[in-house]
Amino acid sequence: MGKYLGRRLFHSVIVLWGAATLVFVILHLSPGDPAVNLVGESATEEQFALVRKSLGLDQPLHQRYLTYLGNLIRGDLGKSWFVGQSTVDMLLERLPDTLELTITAALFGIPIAIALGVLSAVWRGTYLDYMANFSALFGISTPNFWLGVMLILLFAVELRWLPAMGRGPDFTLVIKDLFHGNPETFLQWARHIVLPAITLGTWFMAIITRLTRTDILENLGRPYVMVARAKGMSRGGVILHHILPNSMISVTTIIGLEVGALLGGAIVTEAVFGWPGMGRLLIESINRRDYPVIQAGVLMTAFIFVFVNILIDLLYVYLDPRIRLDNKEN
Amino acid sequence: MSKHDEGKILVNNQPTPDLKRRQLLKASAAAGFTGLAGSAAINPTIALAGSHEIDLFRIAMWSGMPNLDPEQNAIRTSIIAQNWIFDPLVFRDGSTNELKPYLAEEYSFIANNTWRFRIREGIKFHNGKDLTAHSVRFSILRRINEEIGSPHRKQWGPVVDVNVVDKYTVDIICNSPFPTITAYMPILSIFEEGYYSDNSKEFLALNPMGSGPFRLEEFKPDDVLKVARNDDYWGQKPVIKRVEAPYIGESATRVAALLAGDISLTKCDAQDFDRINSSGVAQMTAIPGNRIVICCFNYEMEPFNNRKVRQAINHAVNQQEINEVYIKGSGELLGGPIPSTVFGHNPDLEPYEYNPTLAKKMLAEAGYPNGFKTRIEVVPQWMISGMEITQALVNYLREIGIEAEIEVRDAGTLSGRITSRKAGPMYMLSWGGNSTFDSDSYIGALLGKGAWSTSDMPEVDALVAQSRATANSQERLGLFQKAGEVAREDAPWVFLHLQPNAYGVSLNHNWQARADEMMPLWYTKKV
Repeated sequence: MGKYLGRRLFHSVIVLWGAATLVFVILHLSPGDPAVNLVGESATEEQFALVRKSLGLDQPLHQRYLTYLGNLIRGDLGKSWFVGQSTVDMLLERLPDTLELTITAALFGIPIAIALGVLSAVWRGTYLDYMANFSALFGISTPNFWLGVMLILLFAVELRWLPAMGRGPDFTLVIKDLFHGNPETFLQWARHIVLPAITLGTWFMAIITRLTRTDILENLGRPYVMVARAKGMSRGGVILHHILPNSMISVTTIIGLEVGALLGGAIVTEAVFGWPGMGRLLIESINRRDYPVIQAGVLMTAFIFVFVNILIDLLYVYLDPRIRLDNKEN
Repeated sequence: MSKHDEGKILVNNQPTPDLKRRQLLKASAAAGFTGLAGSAAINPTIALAGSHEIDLFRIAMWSGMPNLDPEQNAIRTSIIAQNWIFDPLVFRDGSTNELKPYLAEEYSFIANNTWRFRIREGIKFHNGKDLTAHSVRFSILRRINEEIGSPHRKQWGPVVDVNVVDKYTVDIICNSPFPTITAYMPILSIFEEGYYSDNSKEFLALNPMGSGPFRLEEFKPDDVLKVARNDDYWGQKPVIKRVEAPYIGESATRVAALLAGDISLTKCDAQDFDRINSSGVAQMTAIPGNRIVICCFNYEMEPFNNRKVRQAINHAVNQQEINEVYIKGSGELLGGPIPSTVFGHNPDLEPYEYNPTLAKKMLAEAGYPNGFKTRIEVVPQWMISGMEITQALVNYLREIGIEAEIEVRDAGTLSGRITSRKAGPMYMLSWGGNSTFDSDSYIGALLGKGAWSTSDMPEVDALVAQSRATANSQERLGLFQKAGEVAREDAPWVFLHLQPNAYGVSLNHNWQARADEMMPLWYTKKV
């Protein structure tokens, strides 16, 4: 197990280095000049040149890369050229907001998706199945930004039930107030997060609904299901105790792989709802060509992706007895 | 006033065409520079009879505010917000757009390349310290300090030193008459010396402190700014107790938030005019501003080194139609490089006549009877209806045999390409001239040797150099008008229009659009 973990960690370092290098090369080779955004409309070419020099952009590409890599190894991800703050501080300040949104979206999406997947598989060919399939298809084919705007128009502008933008009270305050028996803060928080979470979670839910349905259908015809039924186990019991745990292996794999997509989706969702997360920070930094923030942001996203996938790998061991047996035999 | 005037823009809440307003602006643009001495300050102490206090006023910002140190950014939304916290020496009157003393009581050009400013007495910073001539000296020296690296430093290049004459009088010594100095002053913030000397740049970026009508409550870069009323303000105490300015980049969300009542004010696009005006909860307020919309040619790329080709394209484009269709007729057609709201405008210059037949003939004379292929680069967000206007240009060009393809760029990319003279052959640009309302910021930057130019116009360069050597406003006016004539004839751009500054504001508030793109809030009240 230790050896397996060591190998996975080594692979992770290579992935992170690859991500850091790729984003560095793309940024520095793509057109666009941060100096122009820094000094504004009326500057002269000499002023642009001065700024480029102060940012180190006058150095050859390989030298800039070596400096960047050296700083990275020392754990220095640099300062934002526009905000003047440490990029790590800026990202860590935004990360909880993004995690809050993505986790809420996942918590909204996953249970509904599994329930829909199971129901549509068990009642295959019925109206329930058609409805589940339709909602999955709708979720997969609907772009985030469109769904977000539609939800805002319906629930904020027309019905006026929910706010159109922004985030509610801080989550730590929500927990504190809940402990003190004050649900008002929680409700305020929920009113703000519900539309972005549905926007972000819908696509995720759709993917998992389809996968769960297919997996359960595949298992329904397997001999072990027939044996369990022959032994007198109820249909619901077989699904709950045998089929569902088996299906969870592929569902878990997809959840791990889609973390990247979820974080990517958060960028769009945050922009639509004015949600103050990491995604919006990245978009603004890309527009301004704030290289240190973009580089640190991509690296942090890659780190989260890698970390979640290691966790998923470890989860397999508990979900699939065969992996445990393999390990023991080895 | 009807708030349901669909299809019309309510110019400063008036449903009538903006003729009167525009004439006023024309007059004020000229007036702003006809005299070198300023007096009759903006009176921020006029009482607002019957106004009720507003607990919270929310403005959605359309681009992020990364930094609130006035010497560490040149971002428009930051400049707007800084004006809530800091006071300038000189500010523009909202109704006439004329430059008026603000912190300064009066100012004048006292010869020997020296400007004298007399500061109001008894003004205090938010930390209780006095605002004096020393604060003004410190602020100007901070702006031109190489180590600080202010993005506005270059504009203040002619300033050599600042002398304190007495506690409330200061002389600004320049190496030339520096006639545009007051035009740059509305965005010169006055700092408290101790606070701005003792703290680091990183700290000051997040913790601005001035003498303005609002004091900082909370600032999260690119997220939200919260300010609270400065109850000890020397001028008129705002009716608004607190202001919250979240950043919402998506224009659809901003409009939805306005219509849902989540915000009270934001910038809007042309396509939203009708929707907002018919909503029953908000209305548009628009005014001709300082932002011109043009499509530039790169003289270093064939066939745009040929004047006749450039002129032909100007005749091929229907400016009037673009204005009517894409900005609801709210723009002003450009006959030359300088719009009517800016000092140096030449009223004799008429827009190019729309005449595709003549355009085709000229193109044939230039040696392109069958047209040619070209490319137009555009950053759609740079102007109202940017993509639609570019698409319209492509259609007009097709009528005279020119096949143009559109290349959508992001702001950083196209800015870099323009300043390195690689953009084009054609590219869309909007230009606000740093809100100076002076031709120097347009002609000096966009034509000839200007940093944002891709044209070659030695005659204009010479005229700009002459204008910088004199403080005589009549002389400057003549030079700029001549430069305008030369530019019109040389056709370095497709002259399009002056676009309006357009905002959506809730019906509960009386905020009105300003020509200078600023959003001061001290006069906003409930209606």
